[in-house]
Amino acid sequence: MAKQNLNHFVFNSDWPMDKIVFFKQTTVTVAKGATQTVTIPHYLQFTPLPMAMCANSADFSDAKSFEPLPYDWGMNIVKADATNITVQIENGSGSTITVYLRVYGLVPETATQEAAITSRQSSKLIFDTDKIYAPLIFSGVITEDFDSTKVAKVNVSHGYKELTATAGRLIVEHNLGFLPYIMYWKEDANGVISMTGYPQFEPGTPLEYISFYCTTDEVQAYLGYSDNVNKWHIRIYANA
Amino acid sequence: MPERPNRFILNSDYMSWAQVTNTSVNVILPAGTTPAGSVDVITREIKLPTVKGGIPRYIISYQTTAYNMDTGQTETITENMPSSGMAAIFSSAHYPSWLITISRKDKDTLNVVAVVQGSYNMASAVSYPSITFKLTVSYLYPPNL
Repeated sequence: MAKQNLNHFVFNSDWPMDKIVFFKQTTVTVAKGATQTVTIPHYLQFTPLPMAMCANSADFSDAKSFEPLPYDWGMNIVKADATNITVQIENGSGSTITVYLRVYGLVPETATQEAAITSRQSSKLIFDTDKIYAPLIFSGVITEDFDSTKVAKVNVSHGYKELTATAGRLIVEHNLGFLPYIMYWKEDANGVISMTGYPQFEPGTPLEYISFYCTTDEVQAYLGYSDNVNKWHIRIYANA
Repeated sequence: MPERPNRFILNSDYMSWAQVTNTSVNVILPAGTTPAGSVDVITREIKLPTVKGGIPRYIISYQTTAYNMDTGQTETITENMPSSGMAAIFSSAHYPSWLITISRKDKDTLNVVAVVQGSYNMASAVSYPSITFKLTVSYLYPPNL
């Protein structure tokens, strides 16, 4: 049988998909030169992996993601704790802006609790073969270790795997034949999970340090020493 | 009834992502010289429209050589900087390096800023080469919204 191309539309029990267990849309007004924090209770029994997008237009036609250093204005903090998802919006645009915000929560690998159904928030389409769904090939929670010779290794060539480990380096063998897509979040010692985007940049102090080196067969992640990171949540998707 | 969401394979109780598009452009940063005691800053605007209602994901891919600890070989790899709007590109010799920031200027334009550091201590001016990296933008879209 020919090898399945996971970069096409596929439903396959070997490759699960992310589950969105929290969704909220809201609107905030941010004054010129101001920084505004938006706190949204998520009511989940676990701390979700947060994601968000923001826009200046109600139809999200100019949507932005989390940006560590936004142009003019944008979200520079997206984080979740046991109670809330928090988004910080910075407005350096020179005028007061209305920001349309959509916030999402995904299930972390370590969660075993139940969650309320989210698809009832919509009566529209669930499946659409015109779109490629993002099949997960790996999700892991790696507790950071300074020693990069301490390696956590997993092979996902024959199906999705989860991994919880303490390591300085992660190797995921996938043999897809193309570079997969990676997403990651940091978790601090207080259990706060954040989107992040600050790589190491010597000689300044690295705020957070994770780097990915990829071939078409494997992903290597180096988890360096950083003061404010305890764990990394890493997800790899079979999308080029 | 609430369900245990972990190990979900295919369950219409929970929304999931779709990937609606995937666009790549090559970004060329010019050669230059870092000022002594400081860094150089390069700004580029890239015409790359956003997708209505989609969450953008960025990947910066840069071919370089690195030592593989498993094989003991020096090999060509792709430095892959996913998820966020910021990445660091290192030359094979580690310096010079380029700290890349991607942000959306408006619905049609991305803004790319590169901070170039010539050497570890920045004590003297250092010439740096032109580099080309691939910027890939894909969009996640909640299919039932």
